Amino acid sequence: MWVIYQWIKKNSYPLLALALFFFSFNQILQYQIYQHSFYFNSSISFVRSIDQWRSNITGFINLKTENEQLRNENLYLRNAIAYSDSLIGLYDQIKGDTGYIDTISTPGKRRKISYDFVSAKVIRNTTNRPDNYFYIDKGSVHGIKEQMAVLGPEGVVGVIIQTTKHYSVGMSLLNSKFETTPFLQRTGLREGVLKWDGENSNSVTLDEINRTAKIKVGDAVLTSNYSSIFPPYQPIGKVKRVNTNNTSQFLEIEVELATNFNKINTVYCVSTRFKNEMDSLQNSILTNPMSNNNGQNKP
Amino acid sequence: MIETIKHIFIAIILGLLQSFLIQEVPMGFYLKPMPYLMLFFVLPLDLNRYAILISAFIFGTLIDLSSGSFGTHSAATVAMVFIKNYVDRAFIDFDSLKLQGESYIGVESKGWLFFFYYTISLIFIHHLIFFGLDFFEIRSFIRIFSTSLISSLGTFSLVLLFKSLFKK
Repeated sequence: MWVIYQWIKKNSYPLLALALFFFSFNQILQYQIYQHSFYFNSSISFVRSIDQWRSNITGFINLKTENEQLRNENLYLRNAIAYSDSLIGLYDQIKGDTGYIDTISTPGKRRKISYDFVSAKVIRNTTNRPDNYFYIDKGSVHGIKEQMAVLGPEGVVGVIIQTTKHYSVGMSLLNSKFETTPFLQRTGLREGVLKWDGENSNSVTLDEINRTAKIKVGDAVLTSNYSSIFPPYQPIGKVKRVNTNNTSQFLEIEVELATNFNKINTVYCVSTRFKNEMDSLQNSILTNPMSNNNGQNKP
Repeated sequence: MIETIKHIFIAIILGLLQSFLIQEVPMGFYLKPMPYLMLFFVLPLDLNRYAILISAFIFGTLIDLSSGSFGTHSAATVAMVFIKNYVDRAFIDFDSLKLQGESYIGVESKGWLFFFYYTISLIFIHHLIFFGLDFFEIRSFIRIFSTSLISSLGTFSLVLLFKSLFKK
């Protein structure tokens, strides 16, 4: 301590000059528009370059796990295609047997492609803060937009909240501001609010599900088809624990996440092609619920 | 005491001249003189160096406030005064200067050539830092350098002029 004091005393003049200079320099960066934007743009691109290098290195190290995840995903997709094709076959068979014309659109046959996928690499990701975000190496020039869903090989990862030309920031599922209503596959329920309690990076809580609902440990929790952001039936996780001992009318459910947020590397950003249409419909109903009826249904 | 009041008076005059006259008169693309630096060439060399440094910061900040160039003048002035302190220690014999009855470097005490190199190099350092921070671009280095050089000559001329005026 004495040595430090002596050193400061000895170098007090250059230290004072340095402090005054940096104070002035800080004023320049804060209040002069050009210098301010130059400094922030340069520092952001510098930090992103470092993130990119780090991501390349960790990506190489995690190659084995990544391959395994992609293999599992391929398997899942193959199964999904097989299931879908078997449905088409079934419909064809019914139509052939009965001679009736199928007036319902057959899934797969006249399949409307509603989603666009853009693959990206996660270059920075946090899991230990109350509000976690991840950065990806794709931006607006690659077609990334705000409010795009982000899926990983194992399941839901988050939502894009901000984009620049070449990079984007996503709000992770491990974020106190993230909320979504899931679909519980076994019971067919589309209710409750899924959110992160900030405690464990492997699980989230599912609230506001009536205690009469028959939820079991191991039930698959998927994205709901009512969501305008996420494609339907994408895995979020599975029920880990159901607490019925509380006095509330709602169950306390803990959901184990499908995605391991400590190891996310490759993700897919998904945009709904008809999101604008859906949003404008929703807004028109919210702003003027009777606009399409010309007042005929008024009581 | 009289000396202090005299220096404060010089500082006010130079500050007003810089803010309301020199800055407002368009002198061309490369010529932006800053004669307020004269203050630091007429301050007694035996004055407390910390006091000079802090006064440089305050004076620079006041010029910044009047010209809307937040921090640029103060950063450059602090840097120049800091370097000047080491230059003074390296090249000037304080005792012989006192014997000559001078308190700062002038043509009379050290000769024309020394005075020219001493003043212009310190002014150039100030201008280089000032325009460097103002342009804030490496690729504009030639423009920064040429503006600093031409403005330094302009500042030096005005310093000479004001020095002779204040002496009278």
